[in-house]
Amino acid sequence: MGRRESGEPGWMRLLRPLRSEDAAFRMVLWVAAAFAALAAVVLLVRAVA
Amino acid sequence: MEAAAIPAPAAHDDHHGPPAPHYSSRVAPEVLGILLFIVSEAMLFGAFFAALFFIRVVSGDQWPPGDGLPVAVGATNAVILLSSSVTMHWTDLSARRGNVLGMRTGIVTTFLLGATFLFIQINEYLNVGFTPKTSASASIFFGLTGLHGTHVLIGLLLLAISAYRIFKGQVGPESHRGLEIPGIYWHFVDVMWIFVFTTVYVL
Repeated sequence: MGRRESGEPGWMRLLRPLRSEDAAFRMVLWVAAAFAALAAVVLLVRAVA
Repeated sequence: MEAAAIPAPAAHDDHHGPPAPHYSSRVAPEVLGILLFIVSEAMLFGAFFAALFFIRVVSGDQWPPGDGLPVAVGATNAVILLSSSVTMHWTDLSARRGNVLGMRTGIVTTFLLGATFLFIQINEYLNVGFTPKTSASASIFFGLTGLHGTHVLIGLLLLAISAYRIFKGQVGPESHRGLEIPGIYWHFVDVMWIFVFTTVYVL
């Protein structure tokens, strides 16, 4: 989330991942990595079960 | 009770028109607008995800609908959309660096990848083996993926406008906001597909 910038409302910190194209692209990479890990776990559990 | 007195206008106030805009934060109005729009979009998708989980978990309707979902097709589309996010980011970087060839190549590639996604999804609809009338599960499958597909279509429209402006020479290091806003929207659409693909095809 980071620190609050001068003049910025507190609730805007929640939207920081979408505040610029750079930030939005990083969010895509993080979400893709997280869900790839989740999918790998699900497939592993199904294979074991 | 005495009515409140209305202050008389200043005698020397020669200002005409609306007051000057007041910025209460350091966020540009265009960025704030797309952020609030995306928040409302997230809530719309949330309603569809709630319906999906209700049908799968609470109502106990058969999942997946029909004889199964083409996971490989959904995964291919995920790779295509992720690639389009990379090219979109490249386009924005090129705009900030003044790289005209990079901008043009990037926006065209992003558009083509998005169009390919839609083409594959429509082809999937035609060959999936069930219709929205088949069952509640089938309805929410078409509803959720169709909602996302509609957003891809809107994103393609925004990309087409951006491409037009890039080829007209209206986008550059000093004026790339018109490219950045569609870029944020495109990344949001990409993230939503990751959610849709995982919950509909994988889990």
